[in-house]
Amino acid sequence: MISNSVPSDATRSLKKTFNRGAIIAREGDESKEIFILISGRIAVYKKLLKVAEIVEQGAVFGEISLLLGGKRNNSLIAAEDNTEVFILNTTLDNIVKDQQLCKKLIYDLANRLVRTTETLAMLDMEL
Amino acid sequence: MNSVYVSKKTYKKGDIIAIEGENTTDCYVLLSGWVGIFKNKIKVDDFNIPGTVFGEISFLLDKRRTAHIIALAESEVMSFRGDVEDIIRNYPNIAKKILVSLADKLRKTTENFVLVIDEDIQQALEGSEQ
Repeated sequence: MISNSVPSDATRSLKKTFNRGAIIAREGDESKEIFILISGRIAVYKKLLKVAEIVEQGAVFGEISLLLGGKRNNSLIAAEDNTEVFILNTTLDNIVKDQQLCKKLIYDLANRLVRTTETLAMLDMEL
Repeated sequence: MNSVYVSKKTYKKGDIIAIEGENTTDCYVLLSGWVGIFKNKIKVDDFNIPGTVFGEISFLLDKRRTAHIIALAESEVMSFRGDVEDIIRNYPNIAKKILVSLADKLRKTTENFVLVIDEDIQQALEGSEQ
């Protein structure tokens, strides 16, 4: 699954291991890499607020900056020791050339959008 | 094999493009005009920028429409349905638009989520001080 998600051509990828608390990407940075979780857990922070946790092996994350441009709007932090991540240095054109990665990204984004919208609607009702 | 079905249609002001609760899975691209998204008679979104993608959640996740989609002015709309892999292969520009549109909506929704949570924390803090 993971090897299918990692494009071989026109995209530089690198595997890196992070210990708990290590910053993978920082809110406000201009970096455009996207990440694929190999093992471990990633916590997504906005300022000091944890907004999500990524646990699914093969999950793509950190792609919003590449897709929309602009600075990173979240910090990505390893939530446990030996969290392994593929770091992809790619472009939107190259993502679309990679069927598997593109499809995975489209479905990941759609599912996250539905989950976030549902949570927001629930919070709105509670307030 | 290309199993993507693409069509183009012009809607008059007030025409319904999709009905909330309906089980249709077309995805749309605005070519010209102005389109609004309505939930419980309240406009939750509207757009007039050519190239805007909408209705993609029903298309991707095979979900019933979660809102009405209504033309707010005469609007030319391209609709398509079919296999996502075929769209990526044969219409890479549409695939790009879908990716960017989803990312944009996710960013906006996450920002609203953080605002609501911030308010919640603020209220809880104020409550605990009293």
